Amino acid sequence: MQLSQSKLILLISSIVLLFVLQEVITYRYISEPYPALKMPSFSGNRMNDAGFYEITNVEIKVLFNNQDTTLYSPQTFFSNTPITHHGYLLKSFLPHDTTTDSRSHEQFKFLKPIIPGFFASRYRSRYDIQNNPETVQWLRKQITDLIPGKKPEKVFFLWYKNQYDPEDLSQSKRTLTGTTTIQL
Amino acid sequence: MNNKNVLSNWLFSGPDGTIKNLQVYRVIYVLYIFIIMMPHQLWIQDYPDTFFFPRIGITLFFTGFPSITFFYVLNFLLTVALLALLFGYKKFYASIAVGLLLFIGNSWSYSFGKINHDIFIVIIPLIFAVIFWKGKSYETYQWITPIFALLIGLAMFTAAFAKITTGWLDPNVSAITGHLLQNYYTTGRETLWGSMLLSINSFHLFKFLDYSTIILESAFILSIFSLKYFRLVCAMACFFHFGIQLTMGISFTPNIIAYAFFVDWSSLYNVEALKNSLQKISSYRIGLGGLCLIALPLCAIYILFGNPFLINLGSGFIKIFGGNLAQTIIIVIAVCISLAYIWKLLPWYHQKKVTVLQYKI
Repeated sequence: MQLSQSKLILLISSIVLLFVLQEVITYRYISEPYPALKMPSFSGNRMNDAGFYEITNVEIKVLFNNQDTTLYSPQTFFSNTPITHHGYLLKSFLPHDTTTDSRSHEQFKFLKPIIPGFFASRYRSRYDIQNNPETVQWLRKQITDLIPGKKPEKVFFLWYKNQYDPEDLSQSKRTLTGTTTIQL
Repeated sequence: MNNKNVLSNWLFSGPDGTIKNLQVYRVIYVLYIFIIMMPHQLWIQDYPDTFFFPRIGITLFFTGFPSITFFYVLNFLLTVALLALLFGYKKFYASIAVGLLLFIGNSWSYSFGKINHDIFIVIIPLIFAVIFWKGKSYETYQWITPIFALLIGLAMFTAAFAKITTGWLDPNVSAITGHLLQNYYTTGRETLWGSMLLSINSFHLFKFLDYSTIILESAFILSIFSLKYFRLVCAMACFFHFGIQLTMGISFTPNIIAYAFFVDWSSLYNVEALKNSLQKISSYRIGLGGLCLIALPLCAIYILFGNPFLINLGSGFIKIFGGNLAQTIIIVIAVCISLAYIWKLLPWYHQKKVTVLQYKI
């Protein structure tokens, strides 16, 4: 395919213009769409106000009906999922308040028949997700796949904030910031 | 030189080598997808719709994940399209199909809310489609190459810009240290080299890495006007990606395949055995029925037994190399090619060549 120089200029201008538009829109209005011309940002430096590196860590504790407990890392618990997705899956198990989400998307409700996915996911709180029978069933299956033959009773998602001293990168503090308990 | 000539020079001076580059690169791309990305997104079948959190994109039109049958069909069609591209059967349509099917699969994978930034894997077959439209032409290959460089440059700049605006330039804090800690202790990517880097804990080294990351990511857009320098930046980026894989356990092979578009593969085409096999592949006259017949067992193997190339060699291997065997082989090859390219750019390489020639004469 041969393009004249003027058409190529138009093509290049369109690419640059669309790129600028993408950056402005994603910066100001919406989170990153797919597709988008973007690379991983690795933004921020993880330093807290006290001058320590601070990172979040999660442990998953399972209580079985014989009162045994087993501790899993997210990597083991979500081993059938790409590692890149573990953080986002865990977000569904952040500690929550007990109310249903009431975000202000009311003005866009007329779009619901066209983009139901937006409303199905945005009008759902973590409480809704964690107490949904489908989630509970999925958690039960994950656990029985990991330890067959044992009946899980409860699963706890333990959220920690770990602090590291920049001087020697040793862990200076570990704080339990919240626990999510799901009855199985 | 007026503006028109500058643009013309940029767009039409094009890559060296010939369209043969593309013959080799097309095979490399198809093999890459078969080795790294197949079966495509089958893992989604295990998840209930409660995890459905679509980003702005095509999955917004749905209320949950599709059934397993959808992913089986997607994988079968993708296998057929990839084979068609490999054997040169209706390359234009095959390229579009590969791009579209990868995009659809990825869209579902990213409807958990997390986007992996492998957009080049979708863009590359669309570039093939432009080149193969109305038969392949060297003219198209020439102008599409700087356009692809522009796309890579812009995408890489988003990474640099995000770092610049969120504290990576702070002279008192090392951002890489924070991310390294996060990867090592939270994500579970406990690599040997990451552990060594953390034990060294040299602030000056970390800060040097912070700055050089930003410089490298910005260098892509600055070098798009010279194929020579763009290739040099791609070569440097291969070392960067290798370093990231070794220390943080993050393999970013989709970018490696995108950089490979700019490699002059024609010298490889001159290797008689390789040339013959490439010509043999293209000479097979396989119709759609034949492709489906080959695709069916191939797809079944991927679905039933998983990807044989992604075989788990144990945590020890991942600990040392930060990725699986296939990812490691790809990045090591990329580093070797990069070294060879940089070597060729060194002035004394040319002096030596001249001396050898004089000696021969």
